[in-house]
Amino acid sequence: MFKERIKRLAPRLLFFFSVIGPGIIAANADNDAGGISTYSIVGAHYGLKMLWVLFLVTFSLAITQEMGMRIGLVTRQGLGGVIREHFGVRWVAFAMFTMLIANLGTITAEFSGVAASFEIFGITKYLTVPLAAFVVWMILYKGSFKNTQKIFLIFSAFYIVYIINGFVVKPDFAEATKALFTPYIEWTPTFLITMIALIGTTITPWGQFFIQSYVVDKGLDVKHYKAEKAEVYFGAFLTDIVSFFIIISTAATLYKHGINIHDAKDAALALRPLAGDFAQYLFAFGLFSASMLGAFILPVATAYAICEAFGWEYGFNTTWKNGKYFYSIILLSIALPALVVLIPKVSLITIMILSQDVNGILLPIILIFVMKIINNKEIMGEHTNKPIGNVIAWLTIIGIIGATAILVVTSLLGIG
Amino acid sequence: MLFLSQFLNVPIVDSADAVAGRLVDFVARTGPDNYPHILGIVYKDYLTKTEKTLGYESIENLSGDGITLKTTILKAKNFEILSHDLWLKKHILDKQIVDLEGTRVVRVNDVRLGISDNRLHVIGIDISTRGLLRRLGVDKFRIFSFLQPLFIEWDKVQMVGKSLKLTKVSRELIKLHPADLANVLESLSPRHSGSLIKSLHPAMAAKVFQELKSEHKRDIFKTFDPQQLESILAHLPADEVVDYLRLLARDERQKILGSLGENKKKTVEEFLHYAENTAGGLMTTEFLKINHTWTVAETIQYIRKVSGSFRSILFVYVVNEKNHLLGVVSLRTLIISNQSDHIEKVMKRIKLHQTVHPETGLKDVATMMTRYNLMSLAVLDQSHRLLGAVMVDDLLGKLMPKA
Repeated sequence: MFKERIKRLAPRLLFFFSVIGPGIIAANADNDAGGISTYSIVGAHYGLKMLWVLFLVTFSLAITQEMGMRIGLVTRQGLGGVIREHFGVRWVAFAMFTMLIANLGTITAEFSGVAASFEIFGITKYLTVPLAAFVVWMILYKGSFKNTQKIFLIFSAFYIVYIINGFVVKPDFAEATKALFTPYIEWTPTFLITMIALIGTTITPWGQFFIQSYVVDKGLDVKHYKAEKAEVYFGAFLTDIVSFFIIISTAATLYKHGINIHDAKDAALALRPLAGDFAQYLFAFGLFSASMLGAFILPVATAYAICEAFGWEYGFNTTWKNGKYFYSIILLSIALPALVVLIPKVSLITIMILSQDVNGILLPIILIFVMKIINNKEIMGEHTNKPIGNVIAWLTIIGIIGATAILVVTSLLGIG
Repeated sequence: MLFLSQFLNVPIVDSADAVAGRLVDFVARTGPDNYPHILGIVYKDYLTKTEKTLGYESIENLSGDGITLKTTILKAKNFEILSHDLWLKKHILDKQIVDLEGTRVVRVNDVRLGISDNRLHVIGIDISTRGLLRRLGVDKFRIFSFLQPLFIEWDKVQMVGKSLKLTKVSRELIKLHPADLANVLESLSPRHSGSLIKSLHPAMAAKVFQELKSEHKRDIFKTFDPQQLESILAHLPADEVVDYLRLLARDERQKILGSLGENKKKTVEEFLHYAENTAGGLMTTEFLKINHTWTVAETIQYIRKVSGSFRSILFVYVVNEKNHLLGVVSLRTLIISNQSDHIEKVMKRIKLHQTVHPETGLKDVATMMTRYNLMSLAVLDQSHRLLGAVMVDDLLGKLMPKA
C-alpha cells in the first residue's frame, strides 16, 4: 500500500526536479555564505537604506542572466568557449584569470561560512575547514555530484524561514516599500564597500558562466527561449525576495538595537523572533548547507570553464593523466581557499564580505565581454539585444565601475 | 616550422616596398590530396579599409615580419573565395575539433603550415600548451621549449560545429570504434554531437548511438527532426528503441511507436511490457537465428549476407519451425565442421535449465551466465519459444553503469 503510493509519487517528484531550471538553481546558490552574510550586514548596519540598490539590482540580475542564457541557446557553447572563439587566446586568458580570482574569493567565503556555522557551537575552524575540504573533494571525486547537489539544494531552501521570520518580526512594510524607491548614499568607504558587496553577491561572474553552461549541457534550443526566459526572470525575482526578507529581518532586529555583526552568532540573532533560542541552530544549519552547496559547485564550475576555454580534457570520467589540468584546478580551488580561512585571527565575516566585493569589482569585466558578444550579429544573428536590455546592462556596468572608482577615491582621501 | 599565428596581422609589403595592408586570414581549399592547399590570403587594405584577396602565386616570401609580394600591389592577382573554402583563422583557429587519434575533443591552439610541391598546405593542428603560450606571446625566448609540442595530422582532425559543413566527415572518423566515437560525442555539446551524428551514414549513426549513455541519447535525440529520428530508429535494434522509449513520456512514446515499421512496432511493444531490471528488459533481438534443417555451408553463406547489420556475431542460435530453441553453434564450430554437415549434427544442444524467462531478475541472469560460462543467455517464453538473448556486454553495462 505504502510502496504503491511511493511508486505513484516518484514520477511527480522527478518532474519537480526536472522543472527546476538554471534560474532557480542559480537563485538558490546566490544565497550562499557570502550572500547571507552580506544581506545580514546590509540590514544590520544600514537598516532599510540600501533596499533601493537591491530593487535596481533585481532588474540587472534578470537582464544579465537572460543574456547569458540566450548566448548559450544560440552558440551552444559555454561563455569561455565563445570568448575564445571570437576574441582569441589573450582575451580568454584575461577573462579566465578574472573569473578564477572571483571564484577563489567566493569559495573562500564558502569555507568561511562552514567555519562560522560551527564556531557558533564553539567548534574550531582548524578541525571543520580541513574536514569540509576533504569531504568536498571526496564527494566530487568518488560520489555522485548530482545527488549531493540535490540534497544541499533542498537543505539550502532553509532561507524560507527568513520569509516567515520577516512576517513574525512585524516590520513596517510601508516603510520598506518606500525604501525600495528612495535612493540613499553615503560617500564613505564602509558604505560603498557594503554596497558593492551587495551588488557583487547578487550578480556574480560565476553565475554568468553557470547559466550559460547549464542551457548548453541540457541541449536546450532557441525554441525553448520563452520558457527559459520566464524561468530566469522568476529566479531573479525569487533571489531578491529572499534577500529582501533577510535585510528587513536584520533591520528590524539588529539595526533597531544598534547591534553590529562581528560574527555569525550576531547574524543569527535576526532569527530569534521566529525561532527563539533555537535561532542559532537554525542559522548555523542554513549557513552550513548554503556554504557546502557553493563549495561543491564552484570548484567544478571553475575547472569546467577554464578547461573548455583552453581545450583541456575535463570531467570526472577522465583519467588523472589526461585530465591533469582539470583535477589540478579543482584541487587548487579547494585547497587554497581552505588555507586562507585557516590563517589565525582572520575575521570570517570580513572574508565573506570582501570576497563579494572582489566579485562585484571584477563583474564589469565579464559583463563587458557578455555585452560585446550579445550585440555581435555574426554570433547572435537575429537574437542580439534589444535597446532596453543594453541600457540596463550598461547602467549596471557603469554603476559598479563608478562605485568602485568613488570607493578608491574616498579610501585614498581617508573619508569616513 | 610555420604556424598560422606567426602571420596574423603582419604587414603586406609589395615589390615597391610599399605597405599595402595587414594580413587577416589564409584561405585554403581541400583538393584531391588530404591536405588543403592555401589559395591565398585575405588582407585589410590600408587605403580602402576593406578586406581584399591576394592569390598565393603573387606571394614571394612569408615570414613573421611580413609578407612580401612579387609585384606591386596593383598588379598582384586576387582570387575568388567559394562558400566551402576554409578560412584558417575564422573557421579553425580556437575552435573545438575532434582529435581522431587520441579520440578526444580539443581546442585548436595553432594551425601548422608546410610547403610541399611548391605550395603552402595546412598540415596539422597544434593542441599543445606550448602553442597556447606562443599565442599568448610569452614564448619569445623559447624558455618553454621543455614542453612537448603536440600536433595532430590534418587527416586525423574532425571539425565540429559550424565548420563541420566546410569539411566533410573524415574517413578516419568512420574508422573509429563506435564506442570511442560515442565517448567523444559525450564531451561535445548535444547540438554539436547531434550534427556530427546526423552527418554519418544512418547505419553507422545507429551503431554509435547505441554506445551513448542514456542521458546523452535523450539530449541528442532532442536535436533531431522527425525524419532523421525515423531513419536512425529504423537502424536500431528493437531493444535499443525500447531503452530509448523508456526515457520518454507516454504521448511522445506513442508518436514514435507510430513511426516504426509494423514488425518492429510489435516487438517493441512486447518489450516495453518487461520491467527494466529483468531478463526481458535487458535482452536483445540482435542475434542470428537459423533453422535446424540448414547445412553448415548455408549458414556461413547467410552470415556473410547479413553480417553488416550486426554489431558482433559470435554464435548462431538454432530453432525449429515453431521457433523453439534447440541449440547453439559457435563460429569456431562452423569453421572446423564439414561444410555439407547439417547444423543439427554439429550444434551444441541447450537444455531448458540453461535458459531464462523474461521475468527473471538481473542477479539470477548473472549467476546463470557465470555458472555455465555463457557469453549470452537465451530468453524463452512460457511455451519455450525464443524471445531474445541477454548479452554479456549488456549485462556488464547494467552492473557497472559508470564504465
